[in-house]
Amino acid sequence: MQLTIITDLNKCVGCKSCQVSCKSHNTAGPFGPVPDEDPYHDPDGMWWNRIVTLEAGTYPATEVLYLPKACMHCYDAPCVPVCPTGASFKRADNGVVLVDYDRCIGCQLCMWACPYGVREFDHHEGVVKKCTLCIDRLEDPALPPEERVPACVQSCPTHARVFGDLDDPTSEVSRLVAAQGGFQLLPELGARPAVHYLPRRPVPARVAPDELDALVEERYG
Amino acid sequence: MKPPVSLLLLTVWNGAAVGAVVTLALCAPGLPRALVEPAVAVALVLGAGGGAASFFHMHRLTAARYVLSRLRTSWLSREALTTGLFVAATAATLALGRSPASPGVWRAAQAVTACLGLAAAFVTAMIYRTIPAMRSWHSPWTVPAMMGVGLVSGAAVAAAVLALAGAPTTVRGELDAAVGAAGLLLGGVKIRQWTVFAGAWAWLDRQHAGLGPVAYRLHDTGTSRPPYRTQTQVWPAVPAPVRRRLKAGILVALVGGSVLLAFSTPLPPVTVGAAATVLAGAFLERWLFFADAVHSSRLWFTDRPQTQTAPVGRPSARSFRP
Repeated sequence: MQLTIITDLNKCVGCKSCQVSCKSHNTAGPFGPVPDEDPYHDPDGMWWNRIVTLEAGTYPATEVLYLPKACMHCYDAPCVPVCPTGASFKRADNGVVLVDYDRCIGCQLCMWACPYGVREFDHHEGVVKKCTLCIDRLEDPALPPEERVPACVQSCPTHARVFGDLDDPTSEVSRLVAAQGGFQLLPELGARPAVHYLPRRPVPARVAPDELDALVEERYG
Repeated sequence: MKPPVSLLLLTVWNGAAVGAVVTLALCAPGLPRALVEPAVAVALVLGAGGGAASFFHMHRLTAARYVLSRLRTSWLSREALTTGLFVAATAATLALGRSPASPGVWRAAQAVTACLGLAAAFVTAMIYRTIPAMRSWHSPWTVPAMMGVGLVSGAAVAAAVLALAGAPTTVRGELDAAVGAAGLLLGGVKIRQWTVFAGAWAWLDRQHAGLGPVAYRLHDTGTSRPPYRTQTQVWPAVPAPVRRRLKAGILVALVGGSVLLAFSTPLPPVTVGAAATVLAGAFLERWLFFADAVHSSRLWFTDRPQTQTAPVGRPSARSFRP
């Protein structure tokens, strides 16, 4: 089993609700806190899920693209074998990459090894922290089954994020990746990330209102 | 990335300790024990200092007891073992030198220590060589450059200590000439390695946020600024003029110091000065090695200022500042 999140870049509107819900849930959760240096004046610091905003294309043919970026829970996670203490590990039962804070010495080599820059160093506790895929939610028997999903998936207002098992060919995530050409970030670096993105579809050509009748006549008349 | 002081001290001092011990093992047959012992003691101080510096790189010492638990996969775990063995062997060699041990045992101890040192230096270099995400370091030149800096700086330190101890000029002359030749070779290796570093920046420019060949311009990293506090691998890039000056300084100190040392045999104070210059060059080299390293995650956190020569997709530093 390899749990993962698929993000449809057509649906993501960059509202950052996943970014905020991640920080909110995990700051209070068992793997937190996700600290800020000066939260009431300069809310910056540790984020396990960052929404990168990009402008694609060249002027005037440009469009905005939002890229949610958190731990990719890679099949061959490069952060795991470099860890000298075994603090970074990949769970065999569900493929989630986690950090055991009790074993972490804070050397940060795993942060260098991660190609995606999704591990963050907590200076207060001296350990490296990262997205846990909300493992505490996934395995919380007190939650109803439909809520046992990562906080970012649950909070997404456009349902751009889908959670599931990538190793199960019948799962929704597998079907989406297969049907819509799901892609990974920097596959050439060999980490085999489990997180996939569904590519943007081409934007249809825009037609001015005064040209519409002529175009319909031309195509369907 | 942000150059960590602890790693600067660890890698430079340990590299120099290895270089000194290897040099002494090669020169020892021609020298009395009393002349070699001070140099071994200096190597021990350097090695122990490097080992002590490594503790400052750990932020949770309570977990240090697990540091050997990933020997099978982690070069850092192997470094802890090999560096520890090397420092212990250096201490044992020094102790043997002061005991009535036979010359054969003393020479064997030196040889074993030199081999352990080379293994430790190789393992340390492999930590950096085997990280594909660090585009500047993931190259075949990382190991020879890193080991070369250690061997040359250590040989220079050994030459300086032998000069102060009054070693015969015949032995010192050969050693000093060898340091000069090795310094020239090292300069070539460093210049070749810097082309890899430049290639890493070019690689970054070709990636377009990891999304393909279309031009992308980074507008927002997701927070008010790049995560400098929490992710040291995306520390602000070294400005090009500073990089150029540092490279010149490294060549002058490492190569120039080595060549000066090659001609300093009749004047021991000059040998000491040249060795100090080489060691300073080793620190400069290592600082730039860390500071100019390109990590793949800079694609999404980059702060490189947009210039006229930069391709479309390169953001302005202003984009990230509130």
